[in-house]
Amino acid sequence: MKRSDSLPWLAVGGVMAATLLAFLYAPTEQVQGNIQRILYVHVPAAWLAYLAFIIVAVASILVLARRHDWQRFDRIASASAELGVVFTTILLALGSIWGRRVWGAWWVWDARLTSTLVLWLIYIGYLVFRAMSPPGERRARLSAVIGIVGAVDIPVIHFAVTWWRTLHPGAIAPMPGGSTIPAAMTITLLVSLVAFTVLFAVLLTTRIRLAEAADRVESLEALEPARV
Amino acid sequence: MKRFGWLLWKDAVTELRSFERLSTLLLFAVAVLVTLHFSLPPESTARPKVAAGFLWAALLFASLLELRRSFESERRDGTLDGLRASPLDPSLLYAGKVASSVVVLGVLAAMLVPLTAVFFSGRPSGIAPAIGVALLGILGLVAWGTLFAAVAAGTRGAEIVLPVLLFPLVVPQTIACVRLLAYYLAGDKLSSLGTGYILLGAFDVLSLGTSLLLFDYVLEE
Amino acid sequence: MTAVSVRSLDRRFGSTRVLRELDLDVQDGEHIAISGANGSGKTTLLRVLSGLLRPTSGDVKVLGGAADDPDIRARIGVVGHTPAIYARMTASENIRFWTGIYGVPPGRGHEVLQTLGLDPADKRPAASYSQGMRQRVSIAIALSTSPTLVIADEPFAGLDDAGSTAVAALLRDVPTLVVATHGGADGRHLHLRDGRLTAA
Repeated sequence: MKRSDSLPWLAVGGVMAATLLAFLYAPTEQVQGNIQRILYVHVPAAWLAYLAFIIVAVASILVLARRHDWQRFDRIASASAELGVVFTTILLALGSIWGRRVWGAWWVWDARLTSTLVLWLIYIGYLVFRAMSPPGERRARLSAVIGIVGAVDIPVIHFAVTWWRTLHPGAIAPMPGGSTIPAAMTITLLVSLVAFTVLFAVLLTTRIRLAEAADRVESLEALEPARV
Repeated sequence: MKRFGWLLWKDAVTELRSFERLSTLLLFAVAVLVTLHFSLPPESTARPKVAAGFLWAALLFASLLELRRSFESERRDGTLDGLRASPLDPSLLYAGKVASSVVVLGVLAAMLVPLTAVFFSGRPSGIAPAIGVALLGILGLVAWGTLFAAVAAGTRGAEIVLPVLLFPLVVPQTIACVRLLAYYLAGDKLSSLGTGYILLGAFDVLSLGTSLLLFDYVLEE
Repeated sequence: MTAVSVRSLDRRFGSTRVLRELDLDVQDGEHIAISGANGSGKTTLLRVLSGLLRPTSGDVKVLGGAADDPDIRARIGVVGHTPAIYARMTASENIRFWTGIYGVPPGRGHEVLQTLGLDPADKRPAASYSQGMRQRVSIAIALSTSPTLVIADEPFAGLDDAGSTAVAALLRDVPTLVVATHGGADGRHLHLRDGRLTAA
């Protein structure tokens, strides 16, 4: 069995194990109650969203730096952007549900949530642009420009949103958390992080292979008319 | 350098020849302000407080229209190829476009700031520095705006793609500008005036720098 | 000296291969006329030579260097498929703008305008010109920099007999010339078919 065949099984197994741990093994948090378990998905989602966007940034630079190989890096960048948007959506949704339970509001404009929302908008914009332009080298090149500008802007956005938030002291959303975190929680979180990262890797490579296959079909189709 | 001068002259003659262009933009911005005014409850005391936000919103929307026009004459007359085949450095072409847009929007801001102060009971003493802040804000906005106007140019629904791309990216500029404008126009307390200016300046440098590096790639075919 | 040297030029758009392993040599002082059916890739080839399009693969040298080198571009005059003229400016303003960009005085450009029967003092914007007049302004712009190499895409399009004769005479005086045309040009004739050049 090829290594690539075992990875999806590992991902599925890992996520199932993480779920079991999250519900059965990890203790209930004292202050928040069971809603805290959402963090076992929320934190990995945050980590993966940022990982995805770092990949978009690096792949975008490579699209421009390695002109001959643009197709390969363009596929990586767009696949990663798609996954990034998926995980950011999960992140925002879970964050919202958690916030409703803990703070009583579906949405608060705290620094982290606001930055994440802007990040989400930027990468949706990236995908919208790709959807509206004809496929090809030009689209890859221009997407790369958007990807690079987005990546460069993220730290500035963080800084700006944080500064904006600090101008209204007391409006910072309280983050309940105990003084010491039980080992069981840490273990569960780590298992979850690893499991979801493996899942991310599987999804990314599958998505890239799908894009490769689609490109190949297209170039084969283009040859067809000559045979008639 | 002289080539830069020729680019500005050309834009002035082909596009800005119409003083009507500027007055139409002003009318549009005023319409936006009036519309936003109605978003407040009639007896609201919030008017000075929202002046800054409304002003920036009006400038944002006006800049969208101005940016779309940025490469209009090249698009309409098919002269972009001529510019690309010439010895002209693409960065100069970019700089020329940014300069023209900043001039137009700068003049607009100079007229809009006092008007906003009047409409929303802003402080007269704050008008001059507010214009300065607006100019710094416009620079950063136009820097990436010009880049993305060129990016969006070939796409279906380009007039939607540009704001969808641009607005989230200029959030830092929006935050910094509105906070500073509110300080000058409404007397809002601002503990870190310096930070606001640093943010504004850093954004301008970042957006101009990255655009100068990336514009060549956008211009290619 | 070789003015234009092309080896194995490939240019694709998506999956369509417009130019295939195209070779071309143009010596200093040579005049070349390229013919071919509509859509055969003449415009694509000329755009690659002018530096407007990058090759998908292959080697292109123009005036001894790369077609996107500003110093080399300064010595090339390009007549595009559509006239590169700003409609709201007058003919003279267009000449002054383009010569300003190329860093040369506008005198020669105004001379060519007159040779082609146009008045440099005309205050009307180019938008009011006929297609033939615009084509002539476009040619004047290309020749205004006294280029070493002229790359012209259908320069006779839209011109009447008198105009064509005048333009042909001007082009004859150009040191090195690569012209894409359906007919009526001097020099070595090449035919573009299936993405390749053959002697006509």
